[in-house]
Amino acid sequence: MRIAVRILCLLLLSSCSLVQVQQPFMTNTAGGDVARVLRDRCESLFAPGTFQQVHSIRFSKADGRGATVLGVTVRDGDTLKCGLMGVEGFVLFEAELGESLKIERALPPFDNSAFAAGLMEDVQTLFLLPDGDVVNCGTSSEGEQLCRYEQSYGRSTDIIVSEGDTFHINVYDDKKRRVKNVVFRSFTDTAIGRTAGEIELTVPGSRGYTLTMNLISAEKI
Amino acid sequence: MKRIYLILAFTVFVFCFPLFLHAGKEKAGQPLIRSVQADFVQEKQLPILAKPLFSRGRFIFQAPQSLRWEYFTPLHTVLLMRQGQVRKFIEEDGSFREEQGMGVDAMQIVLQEISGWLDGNISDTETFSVTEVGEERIILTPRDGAFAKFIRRIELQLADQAGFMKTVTLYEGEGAYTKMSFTDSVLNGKIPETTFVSP
Repeated sequence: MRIAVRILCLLLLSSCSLVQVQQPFMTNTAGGDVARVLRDRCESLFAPGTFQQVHSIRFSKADGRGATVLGVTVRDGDTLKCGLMGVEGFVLFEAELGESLKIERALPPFDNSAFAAGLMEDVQTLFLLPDGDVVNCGTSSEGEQLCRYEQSYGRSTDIIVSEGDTFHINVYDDKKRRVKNVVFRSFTDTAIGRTAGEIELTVPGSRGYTLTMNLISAEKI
Repeated sequence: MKRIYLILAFTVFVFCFPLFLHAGKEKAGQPLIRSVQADFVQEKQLPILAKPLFSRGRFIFQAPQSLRWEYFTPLHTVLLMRQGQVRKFIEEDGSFREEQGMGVDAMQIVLQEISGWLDGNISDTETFSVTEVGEERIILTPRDGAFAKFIRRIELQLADQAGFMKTVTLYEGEGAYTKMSFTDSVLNGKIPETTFVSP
């Protein structure tokens, strides 16, 4: 009997971990000035112009393992440059994303091309306005104020403006399942405008991970 | 993740090289080096950086193999090496958290190298070829293997006093280097054993 209860608990736990968050419906699409104001608010999350930002990044895998590195992000026009280094200064990964992805340096375990592509995708999510021609601004079925960017292959990204100076970015796949969630909080005035002091990016699932980023510096270049 | 720690181990290896080099040896006209401690400023430059990154910290070495390598900024981290064991701590929200997975196996490689240096001449190392430029500058060039993939050369600028370094610069590639400048060096000062035990 005890074994059966344990198995049941395990099944329940595993099924809970497999539950994926679905994209909420838009219940109220704003128009005119209201939409413009909301869209400006959503887009204010991304610093304009050219900048250099440095973060400490705590990388945690689903199994609890992880490491802390320093991350440098440079936006120079349409080009996004990214570097990861140990606290001691040794460069582990360096790449540039312009029209194509150019990896300048990648030491193990960052020398996996899928990893590099995924990492740069995360950097894009964090620092660049989502691509997508169709943008709907309004209120979701969960009562959140958001801007929805419809992208290619059925993917979409929601930028959610929360009360208390917190923003969320949710990225959904073509089946409207959430595949990435980012929280921006503790905003502070910097040389490049109001910038999130803390960012937490989570990719769910058994192979998922969390990046916990704390701002060290933000400078115009 | 072990590989990250292996790279960290190699970084320790590179920056500690000058310290371990002379430790425990008594040369003509030079004092026996039992301990060295110094503050440092680390400058990091990369091609992608518009502005270099600066870190500050303190280095404490006690012969034969105890090390405390501490950064105060931009992150407060402490790397401790004692009796062949290596631990790394990061300060978060006012308290230290130990980084898990600090590969003892990775540090074994470093310790083996260090033992080799302590037993022999610098020019005999299998890892680096050594070129002395004048009396104050030494250039170390990786001979082959894993090192050569990510370190082009290391330049040591010696200070006037034996056992001290002015700077150690590690060149990683075109436009990429890490330069450590040492100040307030103390030779053979008394260091409490607890320095190498906990952050």
